[in-house]
Amino acid sequence: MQNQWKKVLLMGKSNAGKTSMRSIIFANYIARETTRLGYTQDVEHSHVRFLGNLVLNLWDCGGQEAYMESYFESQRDHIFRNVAVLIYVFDIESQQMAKDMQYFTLCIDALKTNSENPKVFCLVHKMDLVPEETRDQVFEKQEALIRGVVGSLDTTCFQTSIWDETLYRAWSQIVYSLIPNVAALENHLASFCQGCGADEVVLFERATFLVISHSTQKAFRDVHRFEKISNIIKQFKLSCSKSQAQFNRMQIKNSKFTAIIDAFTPTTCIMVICSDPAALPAMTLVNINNARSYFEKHISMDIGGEASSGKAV
Amino acid sequence: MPAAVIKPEVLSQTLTSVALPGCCLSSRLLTTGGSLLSYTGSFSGEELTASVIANAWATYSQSDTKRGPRLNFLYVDCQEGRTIVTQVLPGLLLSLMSDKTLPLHELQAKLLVLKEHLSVTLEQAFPAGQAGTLLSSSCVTSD
Repeated sequence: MQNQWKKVLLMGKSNAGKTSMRSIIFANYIARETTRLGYTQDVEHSHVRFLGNLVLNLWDCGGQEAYMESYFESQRDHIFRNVAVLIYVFDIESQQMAKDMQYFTLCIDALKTNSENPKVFCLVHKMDLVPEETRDQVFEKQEALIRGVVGSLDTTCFQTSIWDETLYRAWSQIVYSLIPNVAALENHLASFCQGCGADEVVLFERATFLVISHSTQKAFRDVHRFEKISNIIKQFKLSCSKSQAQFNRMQIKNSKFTAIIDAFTPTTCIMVICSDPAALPAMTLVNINNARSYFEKHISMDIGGEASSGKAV
Repeated sequence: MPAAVIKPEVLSQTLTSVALPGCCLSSRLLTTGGSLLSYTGSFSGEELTASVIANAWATYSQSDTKRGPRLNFLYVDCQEGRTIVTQVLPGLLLSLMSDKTLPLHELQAKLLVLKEHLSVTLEQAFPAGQAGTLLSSSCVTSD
């Protein structure tokens, strides 16, 4: 099976929060641990394998002025060539918003010149520092500025903070937009959810526990449940690894429901929630086992196809 | 979606189809490892009972193979009822429990009918005798 490289740039000014969010999403830091991260020097370049055949090529560019100027003078073509996704981080508390927008404009211009049909995701970050009553207004104003720069590029803006679930949700949507044939994947998941009598089935990417897709047969009150579950599982996985053990499967049962989180395909985990008393955990595990090979085949199919457009998870 | 994904209701309804009012009949579908896949009836402690049944079957079938033919039925006459167990597919057991009012031959007849009904559905979910291995590494926490 061929590797399909997808290049993702993570950019923004100094101290915008790029390294912190990369650490939280991909290296399983928790928010308070990011206080010990120093300034990123030059460009930190890392590969993150995702869904087996996709490789997110993360370029975490140090945002200090000297490095930013270097990009545009000497490394512009190299950095901005063949970019599938640009994730640009704005620090909402920045005292130099005009200069921030100037650099953003340079990035967008370089992107338009060197890459074909890139997607742009702008994370308006550190929104926890903005009073809640003015948050939406501040965000909308920033979004208007951003859209004035990007023009016709496919652009999505998010309010984010490392202290709540907004960061996770934004990255989930970013990654979701990179999955090829996601409509077919969602149809299969919906069929599986109905077929095994589950209330909800969620597919997580195995390394980051970002939600790839889900199917829900029943309304749930907590719209942030995926992010919370993801954080709990990631911390549990870290605890397991400290004990030299590898997380494989978890089953939680109370009087109202049974939740099973199991390794599914080599690159995904699945969570199945059942409240039907007839749906015993062992039978759910059998259904997961039987669906596994079918999904492995379908998630890996059409990997060379067009990536879907972004959609709220 | 493959036909091998089974809705739990389908199993429950099939197991219920042989219930006879007034006989306290309960049925259990379990793996030879003791994992309960489906059950019907009024008896409590289902998962513990499934483990006991699986263990008893394993003990008798192990000693049986040394001496002669394969174990077909396990019949247990309990203090307050009767239990009969048979293998549906490799790795899958079916048990019926009743009180003492139901004669043994009737209990066995019901078991065979239920086994026939279930076999077709379960063959898709448990191909080529994989039932014994499918749930071998289960990690369970209960509240």
